[in-house]
Amino acid sequence: MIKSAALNLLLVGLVLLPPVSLSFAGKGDSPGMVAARARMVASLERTLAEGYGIRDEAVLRAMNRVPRHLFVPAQQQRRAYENIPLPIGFGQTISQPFVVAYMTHIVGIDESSRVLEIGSGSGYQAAVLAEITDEVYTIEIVPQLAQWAEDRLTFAGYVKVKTKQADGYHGWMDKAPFDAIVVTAASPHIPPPLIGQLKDGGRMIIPVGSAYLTQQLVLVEKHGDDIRTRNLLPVRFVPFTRASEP
Amino acid sequence: MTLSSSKYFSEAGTDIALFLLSAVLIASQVVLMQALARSQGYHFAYIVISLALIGFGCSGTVITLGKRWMSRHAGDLLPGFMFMAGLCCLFAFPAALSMVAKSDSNFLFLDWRGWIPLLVGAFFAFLPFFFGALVIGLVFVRDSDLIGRRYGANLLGSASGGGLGILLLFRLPPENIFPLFSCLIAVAVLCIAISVKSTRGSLKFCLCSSILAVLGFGAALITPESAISSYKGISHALLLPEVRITNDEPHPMGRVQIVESPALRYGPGLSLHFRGELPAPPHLYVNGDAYGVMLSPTNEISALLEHSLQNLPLVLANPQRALVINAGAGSFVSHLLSRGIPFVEVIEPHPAVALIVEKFYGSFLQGTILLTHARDGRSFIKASPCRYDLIMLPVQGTFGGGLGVQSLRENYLLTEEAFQAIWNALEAEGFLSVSVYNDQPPRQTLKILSLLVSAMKKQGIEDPSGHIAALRSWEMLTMVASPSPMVDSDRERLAVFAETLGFDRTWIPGKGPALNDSYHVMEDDRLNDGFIAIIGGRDEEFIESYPFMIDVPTDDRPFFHQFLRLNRLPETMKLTGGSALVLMETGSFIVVITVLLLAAVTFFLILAPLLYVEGAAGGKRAPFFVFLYFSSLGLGFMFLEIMWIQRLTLFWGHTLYSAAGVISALLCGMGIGSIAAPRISPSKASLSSILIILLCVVAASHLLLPPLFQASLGLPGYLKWLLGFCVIAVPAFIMGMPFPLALRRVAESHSSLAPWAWGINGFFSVLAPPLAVLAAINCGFAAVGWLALAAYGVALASATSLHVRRAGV
Repeated sequence: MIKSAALNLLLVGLVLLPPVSLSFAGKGDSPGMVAARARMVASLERTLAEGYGIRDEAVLRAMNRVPRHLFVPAQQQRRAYENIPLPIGFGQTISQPFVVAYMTHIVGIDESSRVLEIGSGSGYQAAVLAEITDEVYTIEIVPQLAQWAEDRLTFAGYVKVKTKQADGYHGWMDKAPFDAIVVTAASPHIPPPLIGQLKDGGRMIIPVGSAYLTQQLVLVEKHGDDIRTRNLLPVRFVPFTRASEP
Repeated sequence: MTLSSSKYFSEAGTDIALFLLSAVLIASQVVLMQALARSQGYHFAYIVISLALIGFGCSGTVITLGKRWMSRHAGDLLPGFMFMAGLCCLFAFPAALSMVAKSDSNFLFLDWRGWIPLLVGAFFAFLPFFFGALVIGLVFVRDSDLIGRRYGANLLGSASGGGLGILLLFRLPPENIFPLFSCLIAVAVLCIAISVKSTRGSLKFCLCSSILAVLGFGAALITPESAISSYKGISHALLLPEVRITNDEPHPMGRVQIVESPALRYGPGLSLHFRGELPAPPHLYVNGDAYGVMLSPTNEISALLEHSLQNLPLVLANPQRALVINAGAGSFVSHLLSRGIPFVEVIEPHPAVALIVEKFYGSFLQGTILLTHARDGRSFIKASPCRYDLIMLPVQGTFGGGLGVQSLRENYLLTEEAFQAIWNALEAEGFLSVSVYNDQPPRQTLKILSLLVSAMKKQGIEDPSGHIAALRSWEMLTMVASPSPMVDSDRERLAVFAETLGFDRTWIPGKGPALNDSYHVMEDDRLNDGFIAIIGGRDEEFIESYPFMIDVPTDDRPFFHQFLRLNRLPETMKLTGGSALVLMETGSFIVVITVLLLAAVTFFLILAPLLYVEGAAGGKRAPFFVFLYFSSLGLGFMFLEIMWIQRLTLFWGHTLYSAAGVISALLCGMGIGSIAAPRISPSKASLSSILIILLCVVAASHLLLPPLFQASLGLPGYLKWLLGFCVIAVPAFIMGMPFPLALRRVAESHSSLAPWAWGINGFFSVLAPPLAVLAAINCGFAAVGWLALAAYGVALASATSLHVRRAGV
């Protein structure tokens, strides 16, 4: 039987929030920000352990290292370490820290994993992944956001993360196969090209369902031709926007 | 009173004005319902009716309190109020829709800020009704000597309004209709100008009329498309690259738009083993909600569909004659055509969509006979003598479960009566196929199963285990059922299909769930438990103990997507974490909140002013029996109205038709009743007699209407309209009498109580629609009918004590 807490609704993409302009956040990682981040991570640790029985030191360490305030627009910085999604413009959001931690844990990566992220958004999820592994590839369809994510990742020191502005539906064929794929935008179906680009034994986590309705976070596991899924949580992400050509 | 010929014609101007204004006010309700259905996905009929009633009630309070002053200044006030009513049609309705579109009903209980635009929108929507009702009330007060003909004009106009609204919606989208309403009010103002004796007074009206007409015509020419919630499917689709709308037509049953984009792909129920390119077919939207895709039955599509869970019935059967009910844009039709089924019959209730389906798929026919019917599935099955090898129902529910506010919508295809009728239309070796999206905890999947098993048992299949097969993907579950038991070859085909494409066998006919299948693991094992219990004969026990409502919906309680058990609320809150529950069951919670909000608003707008002013003037407050009588009348009347709207939704095929028709029939019948009422003495005996007759008529109609409608469901549309109109108008005729009679009786003894009677009646009339919906969801429409009867019973009991003794008498 499922744990009751596992069905708690996660407001991943709270699209009611107003759009914001993309101006650079302030430099540096002040003691105040460090302390706020530590409090956020402590809170996440409790939530993951008590609600989901998850204890993942690597993920928590990564969350504690990434300066989330550098990945949000300047006017959102004071709320950067609250466990909520924040608007980053173009109808997109930076995911709730809990969801970032949960998804990073579920795909089960280590320092040797090659990871593809679909939907760079702010670049925050890619940064967290990059704290665990050096091979992180991230795709963003909205050109302005792709540029923003690249700039933020570079600014925050995650220079090894490879970014691309393209339609994530088609994945990143040149760099395939991947040990893990993290999709951070809702899709009405699981894109076949992404399954094709998973390595044998690879895992993909993807929110699926109708745009703007509740979606399910689904884990896809590939073992040769055997593809299995596991429905994890009800969530609500912003829609998966796709371009017409790869 | 007799009028000279010239006086008669000059007064006719005011009558025409009242007729037009009344028609506009009722038509506005119909158009507003359609506009809300487009903007938010649900018609909110009960809220629109309540808003209109608040407008009328509030105007009554204002007129009651300022009667003398307003009578003296009627010449100045009337054009002003009419101008405001016209102006509000022009600006307040679009503003209301724009505000409502800013809110996401799914978030209302998670973020309180979502209520602000909704409440502001409700205020805007209230304004036209308020000013329109002020005009009508003021004319009644000013022309009390001509009240009979004024009232007649008002009622005739109101009765025509429903039809006017529907007719306009056939031609225009709501945003273009509101300016027309403004123009109609401009004509009404001009008509009143005729009856004004002074040139100066006449000029005022002419000036108002001209301004309104210019603004109305101007707005009709430049009206931008009304706002639609950014949370609707089409809003998302229109953000995609290279998107274009290839078809766009208004319709009372919902605006039809076809959207195409190379990125708008399609692949529901698809196996994860499919490695081909997903097609990007035209997507059809009705009122901005996804209504299906138009799939060309090509070889590529055929390959795609063979990888789909929805191919299951075609794996098990080789039908010669197939029926697709509520076909939407016809993706199932494509499926059948690509497999070369010789005879395919398609039922689609939306006439514009049915036409599109007929034209689109008609061009791909190769040896297949395709018949398309623009008709509701239930009435088609009732009227059709045909039997089918395969009947396909549309995919039900949403992935993950929870339709939000749309869970309030009645679904007459997913009821016990519907499934029995569908089962009867199957050949002995035929198959019924239905797919439903997976949800957690399982609710819609198990409810569909309950329906299926219930229908089979009613048809004498005691052990349905061998008659059902079910497969599940990560996304949906497809069930097929047959009147004949499935055999080993069926089980083999099922196993091969499931294993090849990676689907889990939720039910192997005659055997049960394949517990070793684990392609798609759900974090909840109640689905298998539910299948075993419901098919295995422990259905009643399981359904009763299940935390969610998964018992079989009926025509009396056709709310398939309502799963909340109020008596199990703490348990379900714990199970779902609370926040998820409000998202799953938004509809129920919204109705409860609406009752509370309406109670507060109506109290402050209608009762509190009366309390304050009458109290300050040392006036008499309403005695208990006056309160009881007029509150019961308000509740009884509105309970019946809402119940009839719901009952006629199945009979007439759509809520909007039903709302318009019932409102018109009620007003027509009641109007004649009210006109007849002055001929009857307001004595205790006559009042009691009328209420007894009313109770008998309402009880008879309550008991006889469901079987009558059921038996007449297969009749042609115009006969159903006539029948429905008559069976509502007859009781309405008697329902129109108790209020004016009792008002006269109360006013005779103490005239200051008349405003109270009006206010109390208005207060409870506003509250009754959401209360009726709440009662229907939990106990069924029959219960709402009995509540109405009980309310009229209370009115009868209190009618004998209505006479209020004067002090010192």
